[in-house]
Amino acid sequence: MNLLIEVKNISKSFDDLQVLQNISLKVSPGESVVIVGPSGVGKSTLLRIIAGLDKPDFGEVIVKTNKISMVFQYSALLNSYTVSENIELALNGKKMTREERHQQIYENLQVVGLERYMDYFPDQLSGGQKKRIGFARAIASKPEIILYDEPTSGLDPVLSTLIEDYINKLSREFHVASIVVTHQLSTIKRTAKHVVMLCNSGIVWEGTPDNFFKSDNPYVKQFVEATIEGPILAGLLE
Amino acid sequence: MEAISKLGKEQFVWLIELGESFKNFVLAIYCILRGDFSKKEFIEQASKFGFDTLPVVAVVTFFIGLALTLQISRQLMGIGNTSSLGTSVGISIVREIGPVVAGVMIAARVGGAMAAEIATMNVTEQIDALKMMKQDPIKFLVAPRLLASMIMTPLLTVFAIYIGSFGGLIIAIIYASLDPYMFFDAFRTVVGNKDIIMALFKAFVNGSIVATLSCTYGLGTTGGAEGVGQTTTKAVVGAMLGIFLINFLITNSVYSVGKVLDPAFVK
Repeated sequence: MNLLIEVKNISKSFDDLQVLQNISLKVSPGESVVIVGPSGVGKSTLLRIIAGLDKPDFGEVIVKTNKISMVFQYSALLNSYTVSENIELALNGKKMTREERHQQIYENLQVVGLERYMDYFPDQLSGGQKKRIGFARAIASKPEIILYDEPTSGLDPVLSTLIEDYINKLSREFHVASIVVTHQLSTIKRTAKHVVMLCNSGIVWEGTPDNFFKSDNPYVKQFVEATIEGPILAGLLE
Repeated sequence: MEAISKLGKEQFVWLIELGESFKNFVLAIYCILRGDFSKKEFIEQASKFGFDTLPVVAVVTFFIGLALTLQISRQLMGIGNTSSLGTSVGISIVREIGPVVAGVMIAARVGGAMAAEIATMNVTEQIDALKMMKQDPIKFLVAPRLLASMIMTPLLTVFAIYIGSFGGLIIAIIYASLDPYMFFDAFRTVVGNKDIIMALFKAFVNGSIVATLSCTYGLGTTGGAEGVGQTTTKAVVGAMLGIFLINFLITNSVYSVGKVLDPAFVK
């Protein structure tokens, strides 16, 4: 099987807190894996380890491409740079003329419908616009994998759907693999081909999105039904 | 036992930070020498240095020049030797006050801002975003700031020397009733090229300390807004301590070496 990412038995702890234990994951080209779970279970930590921003204590991550980019939870745009300069940073090292660069930045912004905002600074944009610029920046380098950290958190349902459509479009048209960290059910429904649920430092369930919503697994059931009674809260309180 | 071990570790954190600062300094210098750094950042930082620090350096050194000359002139008037006022003021301002005050002002004004900016970038994942875009934070953030600081601190120091001397001249004329020509004549007899070079060298080192520590502390920030605040304080205090320590060491070394090479220099 052709794999882009292979996570092998990784563990990570911060001081005495074990966040991830023996996590394994495989991602193929064009596949969309959604990692779900309650807040604070290490979803973002796992994503950062896959991105190479953090190192696992044990285990290894094999990423078979260097064309990898990431959409951050709070966009992470550089405040002293304009929108076009922020995107231009992602074109670092590419041999392009000034016009070609400008054209590509324009096209990337067109994808998210914000080409009018090229010369704006991030402070002049709304949260939703920043997220979309973050998305445009992530696709500028023409990646094979995009990692999304809570891409729809803090957005209204319409903007969330828009972002989810972008994720699907990239996967469908450009065969870009994606790993999406979220705790929003709509994102799972619309973007996932494979769902992985993290809880209590490990993977408690994985499968297709259809099975996710029908699952009898107590963790999944509690998460989907958003009830207080169940193993999730007990585990977090422990 | 665990608490003791933790306390022991905390006592040596500064050693790790010092090593990290030295590593960042060497890497940034390497980038500067290769011309491999963000020119846009360099121009922005250099202009920030000028606009942010020039007024405050001017005000502070002017008043220090006034107060210093007032103190010295009172002593010299007591022994009837006001003609050597320019000598004392010249040596103090050129050799010590100019470089140290400019350095301290830069540490407080620019160093603090630099540390806070990089720390905020760190806690808001902007540095992670740079890394994901294959942008090295040393080339992109540290090298341009270090170069701007190494160039602008000596320039601001020269400016501080001029303004401080001007403050001294005003007191010499008004309070000690000294002829301006006499003041500057005495000034010129003791302040030579070596003093200017020493002041510029001190300023160069001070600038390096401020930028290196601010960037290193900024890059190591964790813990949100609280972490940013702590980093800013640490960077300013660390840079000031470094400036005073290095200033003493340079002065001491110059005198020690000067004694051997040129006995006239230490007079």
